[in-house]
Amino acid sequence: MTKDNSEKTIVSRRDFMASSAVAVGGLFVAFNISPTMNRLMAAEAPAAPKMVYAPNAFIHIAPDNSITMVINKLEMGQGVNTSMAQLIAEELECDWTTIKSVSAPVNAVYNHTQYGTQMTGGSSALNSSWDQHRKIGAGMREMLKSAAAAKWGIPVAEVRAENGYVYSAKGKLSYGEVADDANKLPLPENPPLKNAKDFKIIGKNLKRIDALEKANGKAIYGMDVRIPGMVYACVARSNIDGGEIASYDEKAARAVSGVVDVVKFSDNKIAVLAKNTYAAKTGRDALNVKFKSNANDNASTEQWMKDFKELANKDGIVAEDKGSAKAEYNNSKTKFTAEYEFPFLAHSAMEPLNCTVDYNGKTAELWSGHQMPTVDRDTAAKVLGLKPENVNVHTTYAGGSFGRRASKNSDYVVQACELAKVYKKPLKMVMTREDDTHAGYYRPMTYHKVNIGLDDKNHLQAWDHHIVGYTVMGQSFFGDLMIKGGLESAVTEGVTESPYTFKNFRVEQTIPKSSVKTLWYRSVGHTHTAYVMETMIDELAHKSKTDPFTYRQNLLAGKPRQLAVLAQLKKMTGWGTKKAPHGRAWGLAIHQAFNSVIGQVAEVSIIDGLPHVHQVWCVAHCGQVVNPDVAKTQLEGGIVFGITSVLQQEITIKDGLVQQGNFKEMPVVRMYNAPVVHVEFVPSTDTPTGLGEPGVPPIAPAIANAVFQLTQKRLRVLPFSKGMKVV
Amino acid sequence: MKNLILIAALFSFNSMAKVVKPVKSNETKEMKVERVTKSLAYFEEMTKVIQHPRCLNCHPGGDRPTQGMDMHVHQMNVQRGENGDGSVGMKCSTCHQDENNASSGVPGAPRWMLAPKTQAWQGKTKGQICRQLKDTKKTHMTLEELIHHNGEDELVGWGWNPGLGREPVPGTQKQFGEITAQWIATGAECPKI
Amino acid sequence: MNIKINGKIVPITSSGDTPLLWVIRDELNLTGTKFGCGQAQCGACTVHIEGSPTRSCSYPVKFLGTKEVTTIEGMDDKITHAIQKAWVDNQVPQCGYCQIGNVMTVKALLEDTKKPTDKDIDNAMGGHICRCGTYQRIKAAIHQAASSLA
Repeated sequence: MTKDNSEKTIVSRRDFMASSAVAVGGLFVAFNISPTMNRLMAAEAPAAPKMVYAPNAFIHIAPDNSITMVINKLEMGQGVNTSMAQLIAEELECDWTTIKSVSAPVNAVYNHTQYGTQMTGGSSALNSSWDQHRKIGAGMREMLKSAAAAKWGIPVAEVRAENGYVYSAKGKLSYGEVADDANKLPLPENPPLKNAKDFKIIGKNLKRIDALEKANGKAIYGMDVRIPGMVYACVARSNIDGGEIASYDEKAARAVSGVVDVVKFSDNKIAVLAKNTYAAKTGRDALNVKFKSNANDNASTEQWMKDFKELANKDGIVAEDKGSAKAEYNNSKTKFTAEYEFPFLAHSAMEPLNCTVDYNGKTAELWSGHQMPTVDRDTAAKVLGLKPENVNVHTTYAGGSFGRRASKNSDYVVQACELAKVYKKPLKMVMTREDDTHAGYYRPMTYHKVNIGLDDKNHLQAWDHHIVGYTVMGQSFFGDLMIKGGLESAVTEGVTESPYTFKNFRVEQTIPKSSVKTLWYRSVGHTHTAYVMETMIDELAHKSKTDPFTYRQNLLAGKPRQLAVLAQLKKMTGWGTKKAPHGRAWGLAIHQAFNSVIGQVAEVSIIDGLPHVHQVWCVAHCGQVVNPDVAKTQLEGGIVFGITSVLQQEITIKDGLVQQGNFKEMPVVRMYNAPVVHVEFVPSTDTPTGLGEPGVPPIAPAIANAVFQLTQKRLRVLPFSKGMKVV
Repeated sequence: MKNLILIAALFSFNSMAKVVKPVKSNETKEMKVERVTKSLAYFEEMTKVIQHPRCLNCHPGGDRPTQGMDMHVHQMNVQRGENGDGSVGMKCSTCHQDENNASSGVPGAPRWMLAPKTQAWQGKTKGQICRQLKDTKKTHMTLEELIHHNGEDELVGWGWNPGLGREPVPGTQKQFGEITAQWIATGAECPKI
Repeated sequence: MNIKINGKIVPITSSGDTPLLWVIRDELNLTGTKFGCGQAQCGACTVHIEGSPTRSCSYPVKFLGTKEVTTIEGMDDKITHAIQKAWVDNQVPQCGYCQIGNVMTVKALLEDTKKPTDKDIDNAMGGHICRCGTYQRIKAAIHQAASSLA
């Protein structure tokens, strides 16, 4: 019954029920997929992307007419269990109140339509599923109508679907009554899709499906998974990967009450297994592991930043070259150089990383908030010496991620599996907050050097920009795919392909080799590029004595999304007619990321020596908004996340050791210093573009531009706690 | 520690636990100079404890305690609250228990709370702190009670047992109590500034 | 050792220095109470001890004696339900991992203060970290819950 190699993959309901994969409120919903598909899934690198059209892999209609949507994205806070279901439900014409959402197992039918592997990231869930999910809903609707028509013995044209029922002159049948028959029918090739004006579910503020269980404690995260006979494991690791274990005190660890076993499972990792997490952690600490010296013993972020500055004076790889920036810079009447320093940052999701493994020598079950379940499964299979089809991955809710759970080489899953391979009994590997912080995979530290030349009227004549920073995509197979000719767009995105019209504009990039693991972090390269671009644009506006809105509008002619955002933001704030209250100032920034354009104005004062953001006005152009209220939460949250990332946070390394561990060394914005955020969207029916990440980049430069109004100082060293002291 | 022992030797007082004695009415000018000098020296020693960040942190000038040797404002928006033990929803005891917690690193001692606002030390000179200690309008303790407070109170005692690598205040609590007693015995004199 | 939790007296075998959090989660399998930092920095592990919000990650179980612990699983009352409804209505949870701790503190706040001001809320909630940044919605939901109980 299964077809593949086409966009018409359909899975029969019989197959769907045949193997176990996802527990749906007591029911086991699953489906089989062909060996070809399994081979695709087992591949190291992502398969060629395609839009799989398999309604019954995504929609399960129970006889009682309740509907379970199988969500092929990780619910990590961004609301996919609601918004993805809305895409399907809109076309399915079902009763929204009967809908539940569950996380998909690993299967190629759930692959990302653009990346060819099952994953969540790049603020792409709605964008990449917009056509697929609506078509899936529409296809299922048409099959339900056809099944009902057959039952009634009438043409399908005489059948109408509405709110979970099919109607005709013959009467009314619930979807549940015809679902079995419907799933045996051939897939309609091109089921009709609605026009935006007819949307009843898309564009509506439906309540999040997961809200109540997240308010009453019933939501299950990876950390909450319990399997029979399971023990808890904490692992001693060298602070920066590399050092081999020289000595440890096994006796001391075993003496801790509750400790069950001590297992050294690689040259540089040793685990303490115990009856509870506290005993495992206490036992692990009691090991007092000493590591052999290694190349990273003298690692120092201070030194690395010095190295970056020297590298910026040498030639880099040219990422963009418009006009003749170098020559025009030399010809400029006024020249100045701005240097920006960005530290490593840790994602610090609320739920520390963890993975539960049940491995019996032949098969394995994995539980975690898997953001790249295909990669996690295939990597686990490799570690355990199993075929991928013998590794079953369960994706739970994730207590945040911000990129970290999309580990490009499944680091914490690998550790749990390496340990399980030796221990061979069910276990949960838990990282403490400090383990999570020390594990690396940071937002890369980065340095920008910008040479600006101005003409005799103080107008921009040349912009010559060099970015030195560690890789985002490298250190994994993603690097082979995404780094072309040494150029890595994730390092320069946001500076390159700027929407601003520049005559003489040059960008060079240098990516030194890093001995620290680095990774994408909410909004990736835009975390630093937006800061440099938008503070420098503000600086140029100031130098040319032009209003920051006007200055930007002049450089953004022909960019309708940007202009629409600026116009709406100006109206929203009353910029130009109203002013910030005494002692406060407004700063503006606008940035495009993940194809969405976001503008923000921050109202800032200085309290206790640091910028305090009182309120933020935010306008977003992100195409059709699927759930406006949930969409707003992404921008509100993105702004708070963005403030935290520039206010006091940094990861520094000294003598080979990460200096921070817990939140007291990495202060987070809390309620008392969080702003009130006002969000508006530019009305649009375009395909949705990203929203999980693009709210982050503009806030930092908006704050810095306001700080300039207050102090006449340009903050160029991040975080602000450091930058405020430098200037 | 060194300093406290040193001063103890310097004055070689023989009755360490001596309670407060009124200044003798027949005190000569020389005796007074000697007594006042001693008393001021005792208080100077006391300020090594009083003005240590470990103690100042919970004697803030305003309504927010401070933390650490750098005396940064206590994270989490901790406030004095109505009774000096925090706000509704976030009392001191929400986090701080009766003992230092080795596993979390959270410091603790019985009745963890702020000193009353009338006994704010941060931002005050030694003289101001000294006069405040004796001002019956500002203190809920007699000087006699202060000796016990400084020498025996468990929360004060935390300063010498702050836990988890924190720098303790100098000397011992017993010495602090004894020096307080000597200061009082010598007239509880206060520095002008 | 026996502890009193959610109205029942239960025997436990964890050592006395074990933080209450891990007794609740790993031994009693009540997983609504979350582990976020282990240092009373984030508030995710907040439970009530004799009705007072307490960070269970920094509370050795031996301190309990006869004091009663209430976790989210034991919260079934008018105030808690009003809070939970307000949480849903205001689309508060994103990842949701910190929210139970928040709910526990809000329950104590509303028991004491019928109509909390923004300042009361800021003072009560400063011990909670939400990396998703749901603070303004938490605040709005607290106001809604308070009004609905008035």
